[in-house]
Amino acid sequence: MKSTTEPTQRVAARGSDACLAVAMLGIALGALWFSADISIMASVFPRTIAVLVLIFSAALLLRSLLAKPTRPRPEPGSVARRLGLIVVLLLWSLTLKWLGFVTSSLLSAACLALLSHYHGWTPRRAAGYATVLLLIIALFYVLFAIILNVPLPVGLLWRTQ
Amino acid sequence: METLSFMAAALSPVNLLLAIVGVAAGIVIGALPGLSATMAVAVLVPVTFGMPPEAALIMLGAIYTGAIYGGSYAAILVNTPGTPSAIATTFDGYPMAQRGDGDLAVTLSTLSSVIGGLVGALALLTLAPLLAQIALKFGPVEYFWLAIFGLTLISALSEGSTLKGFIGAGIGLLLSTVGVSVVGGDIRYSFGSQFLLGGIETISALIGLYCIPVLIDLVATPSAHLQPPEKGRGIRLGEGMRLVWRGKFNAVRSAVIGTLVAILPGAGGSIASLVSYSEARRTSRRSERFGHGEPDGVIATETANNATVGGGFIPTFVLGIPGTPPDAVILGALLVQGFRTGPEMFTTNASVTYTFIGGLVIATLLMLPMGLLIGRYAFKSIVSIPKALLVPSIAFMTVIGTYAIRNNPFDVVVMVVLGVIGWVLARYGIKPSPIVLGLILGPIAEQGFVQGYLMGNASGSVLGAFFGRPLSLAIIAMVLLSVLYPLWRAHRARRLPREPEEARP
Repeated sequence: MKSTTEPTQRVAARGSDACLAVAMLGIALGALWFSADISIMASVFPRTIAVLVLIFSAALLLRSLLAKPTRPRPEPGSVARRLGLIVVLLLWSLTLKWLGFVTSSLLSAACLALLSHYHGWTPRRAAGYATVLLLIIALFYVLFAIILNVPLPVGLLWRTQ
Repeated sequence: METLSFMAAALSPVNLLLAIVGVAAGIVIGALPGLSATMAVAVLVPVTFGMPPEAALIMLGAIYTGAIYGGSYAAILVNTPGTPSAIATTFDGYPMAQRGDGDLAVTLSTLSSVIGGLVGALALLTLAPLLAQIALKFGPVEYFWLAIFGLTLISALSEGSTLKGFIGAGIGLLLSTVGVSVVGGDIRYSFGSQFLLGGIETISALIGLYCIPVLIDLVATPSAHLQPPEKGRGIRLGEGMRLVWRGKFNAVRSAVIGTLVAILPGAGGSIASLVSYSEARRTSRRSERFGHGEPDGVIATETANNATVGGGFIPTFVLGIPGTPPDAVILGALLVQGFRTGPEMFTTNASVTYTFIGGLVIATLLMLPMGLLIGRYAFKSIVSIPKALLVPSIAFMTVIGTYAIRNNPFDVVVMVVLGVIGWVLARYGIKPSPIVLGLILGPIAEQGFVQGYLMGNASGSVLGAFFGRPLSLAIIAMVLLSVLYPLWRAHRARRLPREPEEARP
């Protein structure tokens, strides 16, 4: 057995830590601001937590200005494919109700297969992948919709037509 | 003698078959992100209504123990804990899989789960009434401090800065306050959206925060996400047994921690595995390797979380207070079967109780061959699946798993959004574990905090309510230790000259 994974390379984190601290300060202040209208019993806990986040974020901001913080080097890779995956997942989640579970899942799974494939497509490979994905979707559909009785969305779009 | 004969009744062919079916169903359900042990037990409870009480309990216990173990598969192979109690398994299990030792990690998880399960069952058999009294000493303030202890542990354990760990835990706690408040019933941070009234579902958040970042990084490069195993290594049982033997004290200590934490209602496997992981790292001579694929990390967490199964049944049977959420479902099944919990579970209904404990021991032992068999193929399959199939398959499981929790498409949107936020935060140094644990422990912490605040107001001293009880002070001392010890250790490491790597045992 190899002993451990290789230690990751580190990069300077002054700017990113400062950005993170400012964003967290904003979230903590927002939590305090929006708790103004809540009763004391319901607001005492989130307010306390918001104050603690405020303190930790201020400490992080201070540390980023005074020290020389580092962080592990982020994973390299294609930005376009990452953004593509995020867009597909968001569209999948937003269209579940309208297109129905089966249609949105089939379309999204096909898009994700295209996004994550780095080699050339041959008709045989495309047919093989399509068959496996169809089988996986069918298997889980049977497990959830039929065996576990989960009412999967059928799609409002198809109902109105 | 009578106890043994009751336990031996679990060996009847029907009970054995039910234990096998239960363990297999539990492993499969637990391994799928989104399907927790609670859900596994809840979904299959109706199946047991027509069975004799002993058989019903054996099947439910087998499902539960199988699901807790099954949670480690997804944690090791795709860095997504199948159940919340497997969160700490991702710390070392996934790095092991990344470097090609996923088969060994699964074998270690199987062996450790069996040890933990047996210790938990033994505690249930011998110490139940005594240990249940400890649970009664915990009031709301102690639960608040216990939740804080869990959060400080994970913040200190998270890779990177402790400060960022605390901020992550704070974000998780704030997310847990979205929706209708635990005390008072006010609507908080829903911004007029009816979907947010029900709050952020913990399992959806867990899936999003762990799974989506893995997917985002998977599509970014053409390289394989796990190193393929060397050919002809099999299940590496001998190597796994040697590692478990080397870490035998770690395994026993983790099992005891798991059992003790599980008798505290609501604390659950996530705190148990974190506490045992922290202890394993603190006492290890290889502490710097934890978080980078140290086998002792997997042993500690998996022993502890399976010990919670037997441990959680102690308050359930003796006090009628479920130790963990799946225990609550099993308690319901007990009531349906016409049983009343309490001391009579070990006197009047001793035949059912001891047969069940016997069944739990058998189910735990069955996990060994079944787990090793399933684990062998799980790692090889995950490694050999091309990315173009792996990415849509994992994405599909996250979507269907999230939707199925509350049959709500909005939960899927929340899961994806939290996943993207989690990916961004991880790049800035905030890992998902503190956020998820904040979300899980938020309601426990808030209830304890607000009740303690009310008690303090009523008695004239809020500080006295939070800092005046010996048990609270003991937990506060552990909180301080969990925060200060890593800082002291890091400080000492900086001051002392570095030992050569070869000199370390």
